[in-house]
Amino acid sequence: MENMKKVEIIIESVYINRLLDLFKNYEINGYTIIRDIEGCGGHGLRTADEVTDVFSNNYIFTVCTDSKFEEIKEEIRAFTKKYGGKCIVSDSMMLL
Amino acid sequence: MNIDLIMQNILNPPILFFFLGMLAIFFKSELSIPQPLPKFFSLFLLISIGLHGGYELSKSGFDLYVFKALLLAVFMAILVPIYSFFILKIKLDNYNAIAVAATYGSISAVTFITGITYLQTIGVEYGGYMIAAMTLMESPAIVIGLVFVALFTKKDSEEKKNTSWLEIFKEAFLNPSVFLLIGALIIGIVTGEKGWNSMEPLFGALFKGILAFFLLDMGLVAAKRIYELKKLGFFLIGFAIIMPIINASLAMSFAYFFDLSKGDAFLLSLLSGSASYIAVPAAMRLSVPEASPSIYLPLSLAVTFPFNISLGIPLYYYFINILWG
Repeated sequence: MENMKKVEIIIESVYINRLLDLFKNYEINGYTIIRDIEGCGGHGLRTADEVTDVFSNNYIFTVCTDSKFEEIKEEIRAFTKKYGGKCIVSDSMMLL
Repeated sequence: MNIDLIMQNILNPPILFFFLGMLAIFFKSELSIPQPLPKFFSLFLLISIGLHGGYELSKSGFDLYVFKALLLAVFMAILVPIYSFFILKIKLDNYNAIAVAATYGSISAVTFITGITYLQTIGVEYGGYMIAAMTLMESPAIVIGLVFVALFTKKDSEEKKNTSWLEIFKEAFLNPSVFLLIGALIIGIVTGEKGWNSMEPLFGALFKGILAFFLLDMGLVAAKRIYELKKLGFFLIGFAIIMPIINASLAMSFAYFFDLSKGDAFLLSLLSGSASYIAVPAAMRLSVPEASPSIYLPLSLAVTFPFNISLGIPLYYYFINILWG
């Protein structure tokens, strides 16, 4: 077992590629994406029911080491500040 | 205006399905269309109009008249976002003014399709090259919007330096709807009559039925966005109704001056009067994150789109009928 950080991000669908580029720059190559999720937050109602992706969100989660998270933390903070979205971080254990 | 013109337009099954979708929301019905389907309908409609346009273009070929019509279309697509921006600046900050101006500078393919259906109902001829005109009108507004961001906003110099023009042009010309339309148009030109005949059972015969499905979904989405209009105020709602009429009138005057046919002039006016709710909002969200999509999307989707497909189409045709006789 290894101590890890579980990083969950909810981001507008149109920005998903930019977030994945950020992950790639920090060599975070494992993640899961759930597309077209609905909900309500700071940017109002996200209904995910349009042909354009403007009003839908994506959910992405990854698990990384504590040190890797420390490296990328400020970049994610700046990203969600600029484009909106939420980042939830929790301590977790990885079964190896 | 003759009430028959309005009724001829509204009593068209796809348009009635649009209003049915709106009523479903107002009456709180549980009606919904599962998410991937609206995207499929949109792809179907884009392929269908691209292929058909390419086929028509292969028949008519390029001559001076076609070149004139295409040039006029591009001119309108450049002109509209420029003056719209300066009007919008009265009430909006630069970012939002740019995004709304770009939205109104581009076009709505579904409004165009509805206009074609109307022309077919009343038996007026139009040129297939107008589909090429529509494709050409999708992107200039995005480029103008991004140029205005560089000129009129106070992004810090580091951020401005990072703006890649390659990325800007990629967003403008390779966004999915423009890419698919251009691709289908080229396939239509290359394969000509033989190609269209082989695809016609799917992309021709089923067209109106899929349009009805798509408009039903648009009705559901537009009605949901109507509630956001309360926050926008009279100026913007007025803009979303008056601006399409001004843009269409301007296009009509140019079309008259350059001697376009009645059907082509009508389609050019309708395109100039329409506003984008697919390509431009997605491009603006990517390139101008400071602008609020809850301003530009409800305006184009919940005001201009229903206005154009219900009253705009017969209104523009009425004036064209007077001018062209």
